[in-house]
Amino acid sequence: MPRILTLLALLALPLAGARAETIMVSNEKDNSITVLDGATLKPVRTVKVGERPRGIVLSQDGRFLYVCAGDSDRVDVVDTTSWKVVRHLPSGSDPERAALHPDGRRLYVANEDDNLVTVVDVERGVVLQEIPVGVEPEGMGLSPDGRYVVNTSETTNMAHVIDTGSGKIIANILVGARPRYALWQPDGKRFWVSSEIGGTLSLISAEDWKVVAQVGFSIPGVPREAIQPVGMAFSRDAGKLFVALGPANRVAVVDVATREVQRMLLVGQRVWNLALSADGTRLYTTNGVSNDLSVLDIEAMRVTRSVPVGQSPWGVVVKP
Amino acid sequence: MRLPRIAALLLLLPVAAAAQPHPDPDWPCVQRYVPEIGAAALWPEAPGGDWQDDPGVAALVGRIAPRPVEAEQGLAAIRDFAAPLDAAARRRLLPLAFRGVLEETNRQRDAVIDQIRRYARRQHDLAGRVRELEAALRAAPPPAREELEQRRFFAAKTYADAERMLRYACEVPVRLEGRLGAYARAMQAAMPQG
Repeated sequence: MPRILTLLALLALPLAGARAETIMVSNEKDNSITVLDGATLKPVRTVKVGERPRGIVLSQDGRFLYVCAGDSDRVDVVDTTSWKVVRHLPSGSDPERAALHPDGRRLYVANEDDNLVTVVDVERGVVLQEIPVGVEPEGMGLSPDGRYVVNTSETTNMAHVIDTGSGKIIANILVGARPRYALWQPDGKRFWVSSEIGGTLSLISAEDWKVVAQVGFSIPGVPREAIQPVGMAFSRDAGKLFVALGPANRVAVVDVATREVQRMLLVGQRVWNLALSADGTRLYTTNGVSNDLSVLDIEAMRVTRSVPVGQSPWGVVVKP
Repeated sequence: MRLPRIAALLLLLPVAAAAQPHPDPDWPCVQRYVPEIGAAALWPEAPGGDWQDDPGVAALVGRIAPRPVEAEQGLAAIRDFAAPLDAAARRRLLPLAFRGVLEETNRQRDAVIDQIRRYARRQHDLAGRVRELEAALRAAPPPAREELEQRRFFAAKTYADAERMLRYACEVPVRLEGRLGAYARAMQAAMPQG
């Protein structure tokens, strides 16, 4: 009998897998994090944090959420059990986005106002290093092996490749105007950079740090200025790249092998950042003007739900 | 730490300067300038036809499109408009109504954007005046300084106040777009399925 129960429990797992997750969204104008239950897609609580929260990152074990509170000039640490801000980490001026090193300790923070990337030890709560980069640093992408961190600077229009061992910039790559996000392919051979004003993606090789391809977008009936690529996420098999296109209110689906734009999916207004569900069946998008979260069914390729969150939702992460 | 940072920055600068896009001095907002809201950004297929030809649609647009109308009021008016209509009428009239609010919203948005550009040019002139007064102040003999100092103070204060107003004004096109999106979703929701 107990054996049958265990079996039943195991059988139930795949069903529950996608749904047992927790979704967290930062609300830029509400100074809060909305926490949603993945099963019901309902907000279950709101956590007050520092001012103008944008970039959010989960610790490796999922116990803590690091929140870049730009106008408070610090990174708040939210305990994902008690849902309280338990600590503040130092940063530079106006932290916007952060990425965690695979060692789980070094948090790389892009500070929009002082042209610095700060490296923060999340356990000791101290700044280990400050790395000068271009003007208005934003995008932060760590290579899967942790050897490199790519930072994009919005005004300098460059991707800066930083060697995490020495903390030195080893390559500066010109990309489209106002680069916002850097994302490494899981194989570590290349990374993608999105450019909000340029309206393009650049694919850069880690062999020689050269741009190997550019991807552009066009949508009939939408002015080209409204097509503003920002957030990106891979499908679970990394065969597809999803790209948030800002006030074009679309998520583009790019085939990674051919670099062709396969689909344009209508979501909420000013779609900024994306996160894949733990089981890879859904894509969550934050929509800063319609103040909601769109839930995209990846197999059906359509929005199945829109969930109201706070004012100006910006970042999104999923805790399995 | 200080010196290496400066050295590294200097290394970056020549390339950085070359990479700057041509700035638009009349556009002071952090949001990228977008000339108009496209129909396809909010509506799945191109809604066509002249919305002013239908008196009911024209009345609805006149009620919900003016700038002071709150989204909640507009959404209620859309529901009231759609409620008595059969499926065929909804299929015909709701896209027309969307076309109407889209055109009206874009018109209001244009006016706001013109105003923002005028402010931005005024700010540019004001900044020039503050700089002139500062130069004059440095060169002036002591008896003339008090009056110059006062003029500089007021010019700088006007500039700072207008900067705050500009930041607020930059949010107006975003709010108009947000309200239009809410209207579009309500009209979509009232469309017959299938």
